[in-house]
Amino acid sequence: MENIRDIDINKLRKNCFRQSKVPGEFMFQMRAPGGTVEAKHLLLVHEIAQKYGNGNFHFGTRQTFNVMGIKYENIEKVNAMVEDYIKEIEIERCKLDLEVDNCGYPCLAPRNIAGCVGADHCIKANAKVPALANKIEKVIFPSNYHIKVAIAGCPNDCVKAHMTDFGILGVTIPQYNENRCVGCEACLRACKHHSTDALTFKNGVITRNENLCIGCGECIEACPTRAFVRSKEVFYRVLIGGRTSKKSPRVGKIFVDFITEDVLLAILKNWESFSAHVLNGSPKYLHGGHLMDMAGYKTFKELMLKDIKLNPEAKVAARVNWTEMEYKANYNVK
Amino acid sequence: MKKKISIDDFNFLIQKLSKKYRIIAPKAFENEGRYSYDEDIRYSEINSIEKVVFNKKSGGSPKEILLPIVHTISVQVKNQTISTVHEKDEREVLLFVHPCDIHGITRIDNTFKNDEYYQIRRQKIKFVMIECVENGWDSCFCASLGTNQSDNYSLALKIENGNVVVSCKDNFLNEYMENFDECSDFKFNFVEKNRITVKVPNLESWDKMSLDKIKNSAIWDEFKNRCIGCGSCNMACMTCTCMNTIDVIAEDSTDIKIQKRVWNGCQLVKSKALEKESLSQIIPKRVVQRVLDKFYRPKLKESNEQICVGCGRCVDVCPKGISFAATINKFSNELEKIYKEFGRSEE
Repeated sequence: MENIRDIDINKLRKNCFRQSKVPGEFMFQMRAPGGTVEAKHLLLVHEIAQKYGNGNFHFGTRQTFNVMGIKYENIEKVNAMVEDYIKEIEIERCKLDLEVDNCGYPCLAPRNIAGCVGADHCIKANAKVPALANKIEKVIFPSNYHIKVAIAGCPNDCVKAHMTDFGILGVTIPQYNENRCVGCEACLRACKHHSTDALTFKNGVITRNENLCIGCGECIEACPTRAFVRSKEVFYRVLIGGRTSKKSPRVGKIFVDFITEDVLLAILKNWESFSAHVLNGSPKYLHGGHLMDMAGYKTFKELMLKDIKLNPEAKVAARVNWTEMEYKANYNVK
Repeated sequence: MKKKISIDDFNFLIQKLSKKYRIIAPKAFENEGRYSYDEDIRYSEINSIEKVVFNKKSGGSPKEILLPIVHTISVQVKNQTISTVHEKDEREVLLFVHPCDIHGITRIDNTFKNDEYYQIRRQKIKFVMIECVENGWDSCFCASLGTNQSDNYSLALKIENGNVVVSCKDNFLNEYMENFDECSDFKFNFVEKNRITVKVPNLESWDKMSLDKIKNSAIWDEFKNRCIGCGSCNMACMTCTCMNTIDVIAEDSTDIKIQKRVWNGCQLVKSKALEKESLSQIIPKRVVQRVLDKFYRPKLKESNEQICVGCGRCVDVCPKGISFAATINKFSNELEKIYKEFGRSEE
């Protein structure tokens, strides 16, 4: 009896083991919030791949470490091997209130938080991405409601946050001091070339059109005299409902803009209760964007902003009009 | 007079002195750097010794104390002109500077000897000379240009074992200093040698022929793709003092005209210049101009010394990683080749 291989792939998927084409083989996905871990962990990935995988490694599309070709029989051993890794990442780094044993990951639903390298390295970034990813990990993981989050350090969005349920972009509110401005217009040219052409120059002084400015910080990088500097606080723009899909991929649209980190984390905390509301408390394999569709933006906004005190700079979208790529015409007409 | 003063006592002294003096030093402005989370270190008034940044080099030079980035020279209302040359704040200034900056300021003194605006500010300044880190910072080349030492100061100051130790040359501080301990073994450490060496261009054999030749040399071509003409180097430079005078007409009344003087720079490519030529056409000419401005002026008898003081701030602030030290060396080597070609080599 014991030699009969009877595999519950749903249970294994929840454990972050993905079914392979090869019967009885799986690909293991290790979380790396913000796509950043200490390099020493690569040794563990290498060890698992050598010992129990087929020797190959794949960069997960959401920045997980993916070890391919793990045989069903070895799953328990792999889970035991990653116990310390999960403890270090989820408990020590992300401060999760989570009990970790030798059974591996408790759930898959909140996907790994993808992120660009952010302000720890990038000259364009406004936000420190892995640090924020750690904090968001604590909010969204573990849970049985599916959600994809990506964080970009600036509106250039190299990590493609526009294509996720919650796309978070780090922005700043440029502060201009005309007493330091030499009128070289480097900011204006940078804004025009890279961004939204939000600056004008008249009488030796730059004017920033707040309705056009997307807070990318190009003007600040271009300025030779620190006439333009970043705001003391980092702000965030949250795009919602972006997705890839066979039927209807679409680019996310702005939900809230220029919110502080505290407000961002508070909003994301409402995700679980919103999902529970839409799905009557029983989680399904349905991603965030679909839940937003089911509830409608009005309800989404109401529930996500419940008990939230917005910072004075914050803006909230009155409407969200997504443009979908409909591979099947009128697929919404049922 | 050499004294040892505890940090608390010194801060109390600063409070007392600030009635008569503005104390200006390199100070960190958090989050105001070019890149996010970076600080910008520049010259500004301080109210405690802890605010002074000793261990890092400032991005901005102390020139902005003498020549603000944007300064109003006069305001004209109808036909009446009001001069705004005088400062509202009449206090004298204690300026915390490194030896290279003292040389830098004395070099620009020459350029502005007849400039009333500059002179009013300059006469108020007393130098408080502060130490550099050992051998200077990575980009410093003061020793190559002989600006690593100076005795032109009122006060030399350093932090030692958690105390402020000072050596006072002028008597102006005597009344404040009486109660503090003597510190006879005070020694100010000058930089003797930098991490990098710069070959000062030999201009002894300089003439029109070599000037033309070097201007058209291929050594400047690399900058076409490297320099973006942002002018950060000029802005940070201790001795770059080019300025534009502009008239601004008040928006709500054509009767009011404000005359301002604003920093300019040879490497600062403005939108207007780009209407006529492309950046890559402009850049090589501008780079030559800067090198010549820093090293050719003594030859033109506009100055007695090289203008560059080797503070290396232009190297620190360049967003494209261009080292002016390397540029000077390329220039000097090319000059030698030209001299050889013209049969003027000293060898």
